[in-house]
Amino acid sequence: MSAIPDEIWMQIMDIGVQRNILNYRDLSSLAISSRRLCRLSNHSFLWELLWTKDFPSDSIPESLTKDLKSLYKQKFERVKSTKIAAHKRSVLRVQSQALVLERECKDLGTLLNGERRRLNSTLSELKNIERARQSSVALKIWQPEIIHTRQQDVVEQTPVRTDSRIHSLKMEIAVCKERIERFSRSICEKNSLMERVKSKLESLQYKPLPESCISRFQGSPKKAKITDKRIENAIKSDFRSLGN
Amino acid sequence: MAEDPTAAMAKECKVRLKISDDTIFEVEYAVAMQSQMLKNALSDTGTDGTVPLHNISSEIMAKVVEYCAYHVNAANTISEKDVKIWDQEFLKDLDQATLFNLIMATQYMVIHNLQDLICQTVADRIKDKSAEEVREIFNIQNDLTPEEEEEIRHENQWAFEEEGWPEIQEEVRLEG
Repeated sequence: MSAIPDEIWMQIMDIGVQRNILNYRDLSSLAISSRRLCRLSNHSFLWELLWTKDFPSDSIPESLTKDLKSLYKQKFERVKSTKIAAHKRSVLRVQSQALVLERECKDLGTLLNGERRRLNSTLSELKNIERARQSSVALKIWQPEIIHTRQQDVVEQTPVRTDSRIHSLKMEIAVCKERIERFSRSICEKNSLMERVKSKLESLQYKPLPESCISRFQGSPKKAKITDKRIENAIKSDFRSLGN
Repeated sequence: MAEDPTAAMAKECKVRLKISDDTIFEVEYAVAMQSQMLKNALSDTGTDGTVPLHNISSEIMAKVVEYCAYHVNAANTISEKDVKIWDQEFLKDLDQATLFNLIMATQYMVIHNLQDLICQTVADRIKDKSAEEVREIFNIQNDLTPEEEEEIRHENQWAFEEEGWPEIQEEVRLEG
């Protein structure tokens, strides 16, 4: 394979990078595989091309070094640490959302239980009163003589008070039931929100190994002007340095 | 060269190519014209003689001719998509050595689209491979000393850091 001239290797790498087949990691693997490939894969025009693809909105900084690979590496590491920091912030944000939701759910639960208790006690008071009313009616019908005691007024007044009491109890029951339904619905919504937040958190915290660490941006990548001149110049400069 | 009607030539003339083991490949003019080198050679000498291509074996020549013949035919009749599919199939099962011989022949004969295709195919084979795998696939001699290799690995460590880059997705929008 040493019979393959440098020019062809350069062309392979050039086309590979141009057509988004080879990325920074592939070029680095090539660099490790042999002395010649190390030299060839380090050529600046390849890394310049990679830069325009991976960081299209940032122009290459003015720098004394002509070593595009190390400039690329610096940029890469900066972008990476920015993304990681942003991710951490996202995770914290979602975690706090989860905590808030939890607290809200708990509060709603307390309210809901309170309403249920009130409902129960109202229902039982209603039952008692209705039973009492029925008894007093029965009493009037079956034992009218007894009604002629002192309690007659009391018993006769009770129906009015009883009726209005029954009415307000029924109103209260209705309100309780409505509140209970509202709280239950809220709790349901919060629970499903909670599910979403939890799964969101899970997906944030599970970090799958990316195929290419920097995802290429959507849309057509900026195409640098590629001419064989560059390959030629790269090879020429190699020969010059070898000759010295 | 005189004003020969190239259309007529294309239909009738055959170009003779003599390769490494002295066998002769006869190809149609249009097919031969896919090669810039042949185009130049023939415009100087005409199609009477035989063009020598001593450095190319018959196996490789056969592949080159196959490619050129297909592409001459496909130029106006076959859809671009189908041509791409054919191209992939054409190189798919070739071993690395054949591929490299093919690329040398193609470079010599100056057939741009075939050369691009082979380069792309090789690049596809490099993609996502480790250094060891690259050496194995391409039969590359590791001429680095252990210290050198260690140093180069260290320099390139940044490219292999496994800590995944989390995809920053859209935040879950919370209702009030």
